[in-house]
Amino acid sequence: MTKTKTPIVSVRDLSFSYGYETVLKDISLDIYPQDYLAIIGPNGGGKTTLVKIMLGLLRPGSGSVTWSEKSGQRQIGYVPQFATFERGFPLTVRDVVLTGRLSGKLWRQRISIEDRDVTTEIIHSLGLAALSEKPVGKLSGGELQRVMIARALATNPKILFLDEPNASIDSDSRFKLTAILTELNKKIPIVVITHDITSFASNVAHIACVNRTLFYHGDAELASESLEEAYGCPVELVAHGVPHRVLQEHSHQPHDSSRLHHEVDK
Amino acid sequence: MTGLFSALQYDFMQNALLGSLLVAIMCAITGTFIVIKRLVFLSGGISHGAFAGLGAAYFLGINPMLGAMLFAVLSAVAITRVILRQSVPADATIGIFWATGMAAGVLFIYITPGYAPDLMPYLFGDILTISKEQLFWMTVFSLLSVLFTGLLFRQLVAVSFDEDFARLRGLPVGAIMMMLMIMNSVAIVLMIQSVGIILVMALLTIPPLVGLALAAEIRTVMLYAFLSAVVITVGGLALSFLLDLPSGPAIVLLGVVLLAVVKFSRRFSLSSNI
Repeated sequence: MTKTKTPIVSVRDLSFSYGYETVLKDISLDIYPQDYLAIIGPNGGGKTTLVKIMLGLLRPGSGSVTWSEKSGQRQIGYVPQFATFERGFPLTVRDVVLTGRLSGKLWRQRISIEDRDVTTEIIHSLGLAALSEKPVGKLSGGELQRVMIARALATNPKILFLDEPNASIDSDSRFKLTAILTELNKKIPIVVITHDITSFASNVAHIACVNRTLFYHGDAELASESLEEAYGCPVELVAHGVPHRVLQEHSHQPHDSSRLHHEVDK
Repeated sequence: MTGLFSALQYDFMQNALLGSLLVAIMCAITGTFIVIKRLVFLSGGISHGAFAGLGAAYFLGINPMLGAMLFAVLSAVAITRVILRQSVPADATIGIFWATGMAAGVLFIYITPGYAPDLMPYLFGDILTISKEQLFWMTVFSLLSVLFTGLLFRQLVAVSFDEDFARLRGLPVGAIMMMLMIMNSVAIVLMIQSVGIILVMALLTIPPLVGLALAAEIRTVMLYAFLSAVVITVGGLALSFLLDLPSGPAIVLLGVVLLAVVKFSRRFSLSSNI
């Protein structure tokens, strides 16, 4: 796998704030073709904000995001963390994937035969065929996840962004997801926002650690000091290549004394 | 019952029936988008805010519905701009708007010299007094909204489903949202005529919810919403005629009963299938 030197997207000196609260400060980052980047960092550290700015959904306070191709921004696949739609939204799986075929035109958006064929093919390749006429509101977390990926793929993306793809799915779905992403990464770069680096450890090529500012950007084998700096506390590092999570020891809360009182009262 | 059918020979009854059908078209289309895009509270703000325009027009001696229309459209544009900027939490703004609209409306009517009009028809509606002119505008607008929705259907659905994704596809989300909200606000004002400001909320929500309980595809949802709206408006009208009740509350309460029956029977039939 040879890498071309020109990045697909370059972020330079990017800063962003919500009101007076600075969320991102002086971030610079490059994403190359065939890259597999994990953006990690604590909750509220600005990971999602960074990606939304790269996608053009939020305007940066200062700094720039440059895509190598003019049309680049139109061909970004995006899998959001939360489904923002109303739970009972009256669309079938096929309808949702078809929205990925929309163009930017205000008028005259006809569904072509090609649109239908591409949609059907993607639905099959992600193992969603049996669900294609099911309303999206009735899907499990893992199924919905795959539908969101299918919709992103229907746009024929040149790069795929996924926000916390492991957050609400079971371990079986995680396994499927990893396989899907590995396969996709043969063609396009993938950017995953996650706080759970362990599930991706075997595939990720680079890691960017974001907590307000970019603490680390480089190979997946990162030094623990930079992680500690980013999270502001000691962080357990996980062995590369073994997608198992080792839980840190939890200090147990002392037993609830009020409950004891309650029992005594009886 | 024969009294009900013989009543149909009266002009006001025929007008009320036609009015009900037109209201059903409007609430099926706009109501469905309002419910699935979670714009119910916002629509409440617009319908109550419109009361300020109504009162102001009354004070100035022009057609109150014209005042309400102008005010509703302008406020829809203003609120949509706020929402698109996403910086302000919209629900508090809508709440203030809601109360201010009502207060200003009542105040305008109060300071208007001469005999103070009955506010009840504006608040709770009176479909039996609907005029030919109102019917004309309702017909024109119903046709326009069917045409608009038909032409922009995929785009409207995509924006309702996921604004960020639609924006990523390059769709002019702001323009589409703006058109949708203007359509909604015009429909709201036209519907105020038949069921009043307070009860318009019921017509924007109950028929789409019946549709959503019965169907999983948005066009079918709209069709069921239309049919259920016809049932409750015409049924409510018949009830108000037979039992001598005010038409607005009769329509709304019949709607709630219909929704409860549909929800309950769906649950029952679904659980018996398993």
